[in-house]
Amino acid sequence: MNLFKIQDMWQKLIWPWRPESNREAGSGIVANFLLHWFPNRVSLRSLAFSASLYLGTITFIVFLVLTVTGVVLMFLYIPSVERAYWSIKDLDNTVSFGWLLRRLHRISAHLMVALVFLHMFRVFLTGSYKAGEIVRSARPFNWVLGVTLLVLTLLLSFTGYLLPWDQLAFWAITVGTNIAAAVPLVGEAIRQFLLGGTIIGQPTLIRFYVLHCALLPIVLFAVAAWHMWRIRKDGGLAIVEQDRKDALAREPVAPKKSKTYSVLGIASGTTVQVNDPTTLNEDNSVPSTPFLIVRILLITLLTVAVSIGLSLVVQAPLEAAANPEVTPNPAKAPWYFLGLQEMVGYSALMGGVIIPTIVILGLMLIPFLDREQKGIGFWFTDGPGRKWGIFGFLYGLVTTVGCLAIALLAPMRDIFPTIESQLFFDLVNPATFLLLLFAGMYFVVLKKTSSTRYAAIATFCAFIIAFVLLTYMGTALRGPNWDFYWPWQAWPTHPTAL
Amino acid sequence: MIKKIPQREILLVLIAAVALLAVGVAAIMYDTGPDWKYYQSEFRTIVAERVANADLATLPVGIQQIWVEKLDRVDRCTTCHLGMTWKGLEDVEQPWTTHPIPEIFDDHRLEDFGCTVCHGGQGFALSEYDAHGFVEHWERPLLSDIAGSEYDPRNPPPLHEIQCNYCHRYERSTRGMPFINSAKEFVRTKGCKICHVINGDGGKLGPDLTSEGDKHAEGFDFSNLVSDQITVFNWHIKHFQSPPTIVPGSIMPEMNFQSHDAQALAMLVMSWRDDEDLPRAYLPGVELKDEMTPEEVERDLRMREGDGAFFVEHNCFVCHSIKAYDIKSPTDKGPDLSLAPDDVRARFNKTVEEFLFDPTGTMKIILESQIVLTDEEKWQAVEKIMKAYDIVKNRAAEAEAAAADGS
Repeated sequence: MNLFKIQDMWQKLIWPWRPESNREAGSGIVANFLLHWFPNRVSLRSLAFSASLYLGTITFIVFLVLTVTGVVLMFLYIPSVERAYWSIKDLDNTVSFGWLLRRLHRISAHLMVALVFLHMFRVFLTGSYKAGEIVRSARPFNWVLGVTLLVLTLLLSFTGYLLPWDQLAFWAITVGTNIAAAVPLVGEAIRQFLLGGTIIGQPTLIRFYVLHCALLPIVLFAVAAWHMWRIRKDGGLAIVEQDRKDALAREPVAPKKSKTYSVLGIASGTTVQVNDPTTLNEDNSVPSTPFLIVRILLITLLTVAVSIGLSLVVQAPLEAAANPEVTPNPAKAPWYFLGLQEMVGYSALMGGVIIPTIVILGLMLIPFLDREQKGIGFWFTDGPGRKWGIFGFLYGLVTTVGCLAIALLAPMRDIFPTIESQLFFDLVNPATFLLLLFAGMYFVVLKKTSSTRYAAIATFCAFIIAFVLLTYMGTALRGPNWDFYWPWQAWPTHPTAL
Repeated sequence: MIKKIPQREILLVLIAAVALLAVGVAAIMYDTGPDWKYYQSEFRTIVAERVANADLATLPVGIQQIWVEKLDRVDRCTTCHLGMTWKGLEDVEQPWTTHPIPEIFDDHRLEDFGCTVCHGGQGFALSEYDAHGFVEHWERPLLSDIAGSEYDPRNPPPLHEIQCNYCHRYERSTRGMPFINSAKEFVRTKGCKICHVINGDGGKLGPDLTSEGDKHAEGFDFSNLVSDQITVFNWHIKHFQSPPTIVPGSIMPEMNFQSHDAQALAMLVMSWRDDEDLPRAYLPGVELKDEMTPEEVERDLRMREGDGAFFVEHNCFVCHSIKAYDIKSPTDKGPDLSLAPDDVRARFNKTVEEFLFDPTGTMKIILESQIVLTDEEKWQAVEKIMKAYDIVKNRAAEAEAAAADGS
């Protein structure tokens, strides 16, 4: 009797429910979230490395690594201006695997920012923000969600930057919030809202801590879930549009009899393409289990191994404890803001406010400006697209280097020494030139090709190279007093006490 | 139609898994093999060899730290430097040796001071390189002879005196600090305070030097310092030797300091750091007491150091005045001790000596619990009381004689 009870309990533990009919078994599977994490079948085109480079997947895995290390770090980090720095010192020196936690968290954070950018570049260059003609999907909206995730990632990284409370953190946040203060009229209010006062202190630390550990991760997780759910709802990666085209061209095949028809009624709406027997067949797709599962396992293992491997060789820096009275020279923002900081050097209004706003808004509007539907899922759309991409890349290279040369060799204030108006220099400076040159190119290419896609490709490629060059400039070529130094030029010796 | 997963894919997964395992094992090895474990096991061997009847089981194991709450410091130096307070390890090499000046611990108890407040270095760290603090972004490295020999290889300045003088700055001179003492002598004889505020007082012609040691390296202009050593210490040395060379247009006079003297002065100014967070108990030479008039100070001194010092020292004066020694009790609860021989005889029918060794009443309680005197001290008291009695009697006799003469 007792044995029977134990057996019964064990049965419940390992499998709480047993179907009594085929119909019940089918409904059970349909209702199970885990079994629907991945689609039943996955298109061979989406599975290919070249389609996505798995950048979005890697980004999410890195986010999971950040979540796990971050939760452990929350047990060890003390968000107080007196103790924060020393709790980091303890992590580096005394806590078992504290060094690994910190380095892994930091390197993953940098990787995540880089990966989000790369993922965005990939999605743009393969035209994956397009709705498609056969089934109008909501991919344009998902692109907007993606840009939101980019902004959230930057905010998460930025708020985490302050937490070690060392000189690097303190002054990066000083520069970062000063960029925010350049917004006309409300800039000072934004800065005060971020800092919880007029200077960086305990109120700032606790704000950034709560944002970094609670609010932003929850929001990011929710939006990321939405982002990935939308991919399922839109039928998979954009390259599936090509499968759909093929399916249209084929003779229609009568749908197979399947028990899933019995539950069609509970899933309403027009965008359910999960069970799309006309698109995916046995020739152009494989079952997600095991093909996609093994692929994701591979990506996960590689990502974690590379992150830990990098953590073994890349140390997490910790400068002197935050000291409001000693400004490091140069004081730099986090690397992904250094392109902006470079432009803020020309004009705070242009580099800190107008250009970032235009870039974020422009990014969000891309799928609504470019509605051409050809070549979805293919890199650079087609042959001419590739040519315009190379053109944009070269154009961006030349114009950006040119504008940087103007900034270095012929600063506006030297050319117009008699003008004192700040507004004049906010409007006439290398950053503005770059903006106008890119906008001008967009319209010239648009006129020449009558294609919004080609114009967008050229502009986007120019934007990528400008972003890379400006970031490199701000990171590697700017030394004390924001002076220019070649990579082989040594910076002046840093004085020490003894 | 593809039905089976390609073997290449499985192979890749295996490679990735092995890679993850490899980096994981590397991380575990890196974490579990710190240098201090080696130093601790060596220390065990050394103690077993050198110290007779040492109980190896009681040797410290694991990370050691001294937390000095008052100084807000955590020093983990003793994780490797295990022999600091041991006797018999004087000739063992670092890091296991005994402290070279073990008597320093008599008035600098290890648990009240730790290590870095005197020596510098990064007390938090556990690897040699980080702990000794000659790393980027650590501003207070270990002030050993190695640090000093950068400036004078044959005769390295004892830079640790900079740290000593953080607490000892208000003392006129301090044992064991020859450089700082000589520099303090220069401050007095060369008249630095005519132009500079030092320790909160002085002239206004030059900059205030009270917190000069806190001035960050970024705050100095090194453009006129021709040297390989772009350091604050070197800046001060060269500036003391020739102020106008380092700061063009400076009106600070050239004093022709030898390099030894300039080093001492540089150490002194670098020791002048803000001591606001330092508890008063750590600042010798700083006395906090109520303001007193010169008369009060003089009387206080007389009472404490005059013939009646014994009665002040043993708190008899709380209740008893002693006219003969000019001691005034703040309460006057008991009779004047100058008249004790008469008084004791009248009230208890005893001599002073008998009474002190066998007291009755209130004095019994006090002498048994609050003012416990040794026999020797009691004899001393008797002697002093009899002397006071004689003084008072003599004065009375003199006064009587004077009165008789007058009449």
